[in-house]
Amino acid sequence: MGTQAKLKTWGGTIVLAAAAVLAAPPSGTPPCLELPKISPFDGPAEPAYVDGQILVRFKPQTGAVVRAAALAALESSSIRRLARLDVHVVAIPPRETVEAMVEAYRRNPDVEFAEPNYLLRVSVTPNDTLFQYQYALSNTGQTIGSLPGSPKGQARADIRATAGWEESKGRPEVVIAVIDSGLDLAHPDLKNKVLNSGRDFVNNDFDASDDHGHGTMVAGIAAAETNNGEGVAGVAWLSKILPLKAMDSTGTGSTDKVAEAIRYAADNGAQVINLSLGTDQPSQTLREACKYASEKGAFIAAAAGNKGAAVHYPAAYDNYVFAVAATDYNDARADFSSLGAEVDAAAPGVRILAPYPTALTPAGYLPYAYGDGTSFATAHVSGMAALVKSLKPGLSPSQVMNILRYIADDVNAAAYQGKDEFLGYGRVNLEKAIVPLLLRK
Amino acid sequence: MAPRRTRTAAAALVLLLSPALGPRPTFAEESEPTKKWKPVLSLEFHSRTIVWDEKARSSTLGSAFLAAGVEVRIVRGWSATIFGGASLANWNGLVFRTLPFSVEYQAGPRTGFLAGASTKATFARLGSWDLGLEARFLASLGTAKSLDLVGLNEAGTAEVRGTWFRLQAGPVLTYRGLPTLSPFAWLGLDRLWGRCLMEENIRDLSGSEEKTVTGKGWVSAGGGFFWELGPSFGLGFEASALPFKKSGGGLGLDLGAALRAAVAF
Repeated sequence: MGTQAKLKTWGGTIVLAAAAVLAAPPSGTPPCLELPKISPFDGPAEPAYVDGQILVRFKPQTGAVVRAAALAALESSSIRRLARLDVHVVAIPPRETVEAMVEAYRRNPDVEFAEPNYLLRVSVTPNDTLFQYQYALSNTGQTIGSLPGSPKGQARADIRATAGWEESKGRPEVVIAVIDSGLDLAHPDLKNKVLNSGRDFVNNDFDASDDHGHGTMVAGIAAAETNNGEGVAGVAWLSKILPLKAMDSTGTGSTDKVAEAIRYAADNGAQVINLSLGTDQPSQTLREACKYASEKGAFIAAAAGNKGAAVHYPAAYDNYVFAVAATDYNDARADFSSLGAEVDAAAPGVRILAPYPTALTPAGYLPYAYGDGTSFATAHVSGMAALVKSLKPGLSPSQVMNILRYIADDVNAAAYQGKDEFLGYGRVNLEKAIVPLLLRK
Repeated sequence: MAPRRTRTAAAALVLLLSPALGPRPTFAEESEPTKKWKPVLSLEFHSRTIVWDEKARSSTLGSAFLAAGVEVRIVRGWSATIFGGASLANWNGLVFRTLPFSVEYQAGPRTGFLAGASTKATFARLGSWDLGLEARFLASLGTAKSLDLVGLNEAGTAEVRGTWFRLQAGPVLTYRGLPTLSPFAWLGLDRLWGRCLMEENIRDLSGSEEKTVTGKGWVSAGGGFFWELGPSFGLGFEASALPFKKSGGGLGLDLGAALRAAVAF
């Protein structure tokens, strides 16, 4: 067979969290950030409102007869009046849109204001100190980083994590196997989340410590310890991580090691396997390993690749692997994100803040780093899959794949309606994946 | 007046001490001794707090039905009624979480068929007061309804079909001292149970989930009157209340109402 194809981690750029060190006191003690309360309502309101209703307040001097005439003129009626606010909940004619009726009422000089009856939803905001920089989980349009010139995102260009967490934070029984460069087993945001010390296929032992950094970041994005008052939040709060080291300190690994790790993950109860790695060479061994794991019930997510070229393997093994492309903080496709018909969906993969191995972190830096790459997009999807499996353990891997495809937001619909080779079905949406959809007439 | 008050108090005591009671008087048995059967028409509404997911969650089942039936006198003082009709059942608030896509039903009332039977027997008379026993069973069989799943990248539907059953039994106390009006009161065992099936289909993704529900509370009480508008026609009205313990503490109350018409031949 000759030499085996080498797989590489798809980490792209990793930038240490320099923002934090600038804020550090001279002693070098890690800074304690004062976080404002983050709410999804801080951003522009989503156009989700009660169908067939608007809210109207007439000017105080407007009498009952004039109010009734105004309602009748627009063929609407007052369902009820919020007495203390003097706001009418108005039923509009079925053929009219909410927007048109709001405008119609606003033109009436007797009306103080008219607006849609917006829907609100409770959400969960974790207390992790760096959560404010994790736009991928909750994008309120905040600045992503504290250095001058740090970019700002577009509100709601995220995976709707806070709304999804209201429904589920996962279960420890749903294990995410992270096949990568290992994991910092002592990292404050990960030490309580690992199932065990893992398996090192590079050095052939049972200590999957990370000597590269990539695996620690990927694992943290998927399932860092959350709501623990420090660091970052993971997508799957309660899921455990099985670290499997198949990539060496250079971020490179051989097909046999990766395939062996995939089989090991499947045989040791992993229900989700994260493969933030790839090669442009197809491999029957790798394909068979993915097939084996999938048939054993494991959902596999893999990075599409960072070369802006064809989707790499194993992401391209369509039947068994969910191929993930990357978007940025504006819901735009990352220019490095590889493309092709195999792309299933996308997730944020630009300027993603994640845990970084303490041993590899220079003095004065927090053990967290920003990174770009489809690797990090993939980790978001793995976390989501773990939450779906936590709620619905009976689903097969292909069913989980379809759920994640069908709930994606088609964020590039203006240019490419429907599934396309750039973002697949679109940017994944945790809220739609697990929060009950409302069944209306 | 004193004897009547005494009788009233005694009757009230019997009512309160009864283990379980149930509703529905129609014509006074004695007022129409020669009539063997009579058609009845009933319009009823009830709202019932139901629990599901191993009683961890609750919602409200609203139901209304219009039923026609026939009441047959088996022997003097004992009759049976069978009836059937159309029903509406509102399962709003029921959440299905094991389907591929979790859904919360919010599509309002669904049509269905209603069938039922009841029997009643008068076993004691204290002056103008009749004390009887009545039992009633209702079954509402919902028809399937397909609803679109919106917000997904592929077209999908969810089909819902709900069924509920209700059993009531217990004593009923009727006052016969008025010429055309017969007030009554009852206190009875009142159980409701059912299931709601939801099936989902989105291309090659499908699943079904059946939700088993039970009504909160065991004993309901109510009262009303039956008004004989003529020798062969009467109208009845009753209201009922069923107390239950709320999950978060405190007492809740489910209400019901019924309007009945009966024609005797």
